[in-house]
Amino acid sequence: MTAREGVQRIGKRAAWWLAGIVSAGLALRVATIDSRGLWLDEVVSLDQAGRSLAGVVGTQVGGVHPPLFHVLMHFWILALGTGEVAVRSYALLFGVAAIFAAFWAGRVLFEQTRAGLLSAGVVAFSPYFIWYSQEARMYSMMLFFGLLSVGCLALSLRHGTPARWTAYFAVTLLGLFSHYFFAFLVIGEVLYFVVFEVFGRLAALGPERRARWSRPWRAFSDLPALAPWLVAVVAMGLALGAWVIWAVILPEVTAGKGPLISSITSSGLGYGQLAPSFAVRFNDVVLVLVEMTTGFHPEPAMFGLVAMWPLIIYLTLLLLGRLSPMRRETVLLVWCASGALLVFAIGQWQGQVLASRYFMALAAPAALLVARLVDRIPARGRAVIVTIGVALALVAWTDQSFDRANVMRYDDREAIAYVARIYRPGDVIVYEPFYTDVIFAYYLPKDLVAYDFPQRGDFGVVRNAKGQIGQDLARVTASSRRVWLVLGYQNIAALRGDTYNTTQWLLRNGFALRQHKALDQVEVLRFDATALPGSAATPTAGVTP
Amino acid sequence: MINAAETARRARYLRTCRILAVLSTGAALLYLKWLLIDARPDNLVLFWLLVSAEVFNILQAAGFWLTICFQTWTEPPTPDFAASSETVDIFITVAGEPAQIVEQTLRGALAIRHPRKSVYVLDDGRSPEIEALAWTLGAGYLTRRDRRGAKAGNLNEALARTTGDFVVIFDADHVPVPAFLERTMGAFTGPRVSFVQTPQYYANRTTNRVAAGAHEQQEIFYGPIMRGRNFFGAAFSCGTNVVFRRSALREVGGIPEDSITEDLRVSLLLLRAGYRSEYVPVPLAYGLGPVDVAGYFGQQLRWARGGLEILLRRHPFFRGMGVGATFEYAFSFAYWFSGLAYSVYLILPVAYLLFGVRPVQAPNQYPVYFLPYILITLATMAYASEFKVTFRALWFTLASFPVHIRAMVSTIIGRATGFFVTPKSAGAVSFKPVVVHAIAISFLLAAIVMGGAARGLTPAVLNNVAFALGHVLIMQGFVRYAASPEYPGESSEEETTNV
Repeated sequence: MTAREGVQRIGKRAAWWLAGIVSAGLALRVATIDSRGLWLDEVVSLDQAGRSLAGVVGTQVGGVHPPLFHVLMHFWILALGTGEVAVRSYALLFGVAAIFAAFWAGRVLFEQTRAGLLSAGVVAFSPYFIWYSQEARMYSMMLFFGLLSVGCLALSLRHGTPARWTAYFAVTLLGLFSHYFFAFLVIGEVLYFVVFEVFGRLAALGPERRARWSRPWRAFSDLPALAPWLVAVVAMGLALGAWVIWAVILPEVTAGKGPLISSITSSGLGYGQLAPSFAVRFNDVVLVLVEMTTGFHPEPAMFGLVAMWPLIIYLTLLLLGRLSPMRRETVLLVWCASGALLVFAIGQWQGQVLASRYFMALAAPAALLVARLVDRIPARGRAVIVTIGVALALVAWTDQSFDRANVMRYDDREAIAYVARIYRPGDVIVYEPFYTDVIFAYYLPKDLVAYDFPQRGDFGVVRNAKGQIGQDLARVTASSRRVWLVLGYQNIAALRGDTYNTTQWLLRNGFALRQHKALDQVEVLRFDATALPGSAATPTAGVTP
Repeated sequence: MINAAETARRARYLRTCRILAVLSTGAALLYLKWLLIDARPDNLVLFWLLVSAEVFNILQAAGFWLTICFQTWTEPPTPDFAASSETVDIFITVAGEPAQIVEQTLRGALAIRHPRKSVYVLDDGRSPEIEALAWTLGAGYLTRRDRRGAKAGNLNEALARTTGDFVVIFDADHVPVPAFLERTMGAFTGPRVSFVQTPQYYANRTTNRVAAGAHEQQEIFYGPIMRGRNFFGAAFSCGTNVVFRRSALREVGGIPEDSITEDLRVSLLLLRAGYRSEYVPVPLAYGLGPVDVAGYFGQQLRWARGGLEILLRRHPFFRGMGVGATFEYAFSFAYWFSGLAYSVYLILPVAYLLFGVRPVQAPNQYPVYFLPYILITLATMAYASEFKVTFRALWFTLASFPVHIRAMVSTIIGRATGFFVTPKSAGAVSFKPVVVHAIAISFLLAAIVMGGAARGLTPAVLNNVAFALGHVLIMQGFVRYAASPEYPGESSEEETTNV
């Protein structure tokens, strides 16, 4: 379809609106794409994607992600390089494509251009979607495929042709290979089909037809969508299953222990370090909703917004009487988004998963639902709601982009640049935690060296006992007169303990704190030697372990 | 007769209602357990106010959950009037309503199919225009010298002057459908069935916002609540769209004139006399709801005053009433105290924002127990009403708290009140009825500003700000409707907002 045909199909006025929405969405994304440095996960992705193609896939064997994002990123950085903007523009591409996908899905689902435009608007202006369109991770890709998957399913159920079912299969499979949490969207889609399309249809059939279904294959003639749907779902299951067996289960079998499946019972589904424990994490659940609706802001603002949970009740009240009778497509969206309940439930055990980025695929039907709700408001009220919504989104975007106290800003870039600026030959740079090595490899000038702490010994075992830290520091600092300590993730108790041991060793061994710079979630400390190593410690104020 | 698919749908609906009622009860008990045992009180006065309000509301909700579990649908077969010999008098009560409104009702009543019916206009307005209308259309016209006993007196006067075996009552603005008697008379399955009530349905809900709100509020009452009350033999007469057995009325001395809610009072008297009632949940008459806020509040005040007077002065409960009916009537009377509970909820955020006092010390635990309870309760209400209950219906109930409190106080101190007819002409713009709401909204907004300024935008302040904003949302509706009771166009746009 040419652009001219496209304009003809949706109408000239709608095409202008769409162009405006996409332009605004693009501008909001591009304007602040490098207002923050790459954070750990982005640099890890870059590191993995920068290897050979086999190496790229290999990094995901035994890892926590399927390979699609990294494989495509491999080619992207080959073409555009590894600069911050170049790397992030890869996510930006999917972020902007998601605006078009939202328009298409909204229009397809509700057979109305206005619903499509509202859907595009929700995706274009949402601070949450903007944030992840600027992060060199797979989340904007998840959103893009999520929107396409929901739209293709609706289209296939309405007028199922082999091409449409194939498209549904393809985009959903691509989504599943972009992030494992895409599966929660697919679970919702499957539940919708089974509950609404199969059992709902069964309940509506007369007793005679129902009796026919006692021989299940007869259901295929009553439900034309059943066969292609089953083929698509089974094929997806086989493809993903083959990958999971090869990349996750087999390594676990051959190596005794693998990081993903064993992590389900040991450390936060592999997405974090905290051991799982059952607890009611109400505030974390609300925080996810807050992030998805308002984006990311300083901690007091986020806590304040979480505290406004009673608004959930009033929003529920406003929906009363407007939910039934629902269009079939609205029911589909509700079911698709229902996977969020499952993630919330898992989150009560594995607290790590209660991070809004893992809900990105589920955000696709949620965004379409929001657009639908706004679409159904009478014209005058709709104009007011859209105006207020856009204004609030712009305020949230401004704060999210420029407030340096934003909880999601990890200013390693500035911290490393600061150290590099004042660095003198003979200085030693030590950073914590050790797994931020990729960030230092990316940002630290090539002629400087930095040491990770706590260090890893044989077989990658972390040497974070007090004595081990002392040994390693003694070796690294040697005769240095200045030691830079770059500290990240100090909200993690274990890392604060390592910091304590490190600073205590320095203080005991003749160093004194001379400089302290606090950046966004990163701290830089400079210790100067006041006496020869091993002599009496000089008491120093100002270091709070 | 209903078909098999409808029977199956109702069975599924009832099963789901029961599941939701059990879930709601569980969530409510968990919340109550936390509130009464685990929660650490902070300010004792506020704590016990909160406990009282929550216990009251949970008991009210429990009544609803019980009711929806036992809904019955009385849809009797059409009787063969040619084979029976009963006579029916149809009364249209008039007390000053415009002739064009009465004319529609009269034409509707005359069109009701029954071979031995007589239609009478009971005109307490003594209007020559209405009299001429009645004679022109071929209906009887009954009037009296005084207006003693208000509507009840009017009906008793007519009962004394007519002889039909059954008596149908329509308010002047409720236009019946021709099948009214065909759909209701079959429910008189025995001599102990004293009356058959049908729902009220406001036809002007599409042109008037207040009528729309009142209609939506009534929908849950005339839906799951009355169907459930029917099971317990506690369906009561609502004063219009109802068929009475004359002999039953005669046995209890006619329509009682000592209450402004004579319909409720006569229902209780008939129950006490050993009669039962039936409820046919099919709209068979289309009426006019209140057209402005003053009219709505007037209607609510009359119902509340009447109900509370019966509770406090007429000994409504009696031995042999039946457990189910006792509970159902107790829940009905308790409803009129809900204004007190709502005013407690209004006080709590203001108390924190202005004075820093709160009912419990660990507000972080509060939503973990409270939210599941409130959300499941709302889901149950939405499902039981077959998704017809609206936010407007809820705020019509909650924001009527000044009227409910006024009714309670005036009943307790014994101030006299008279029967009055809810105005049905075009809605009048008047802010007098919503002065309390405007003051409360101003107070809440001031508390938000002052609390934020004095205490900073801490999570505790913002939590109370959210509650306060919720109350503003609930109360602003009546202020808006007072300014503009009619929909701007021909009909409501809000009718088409489903997703």
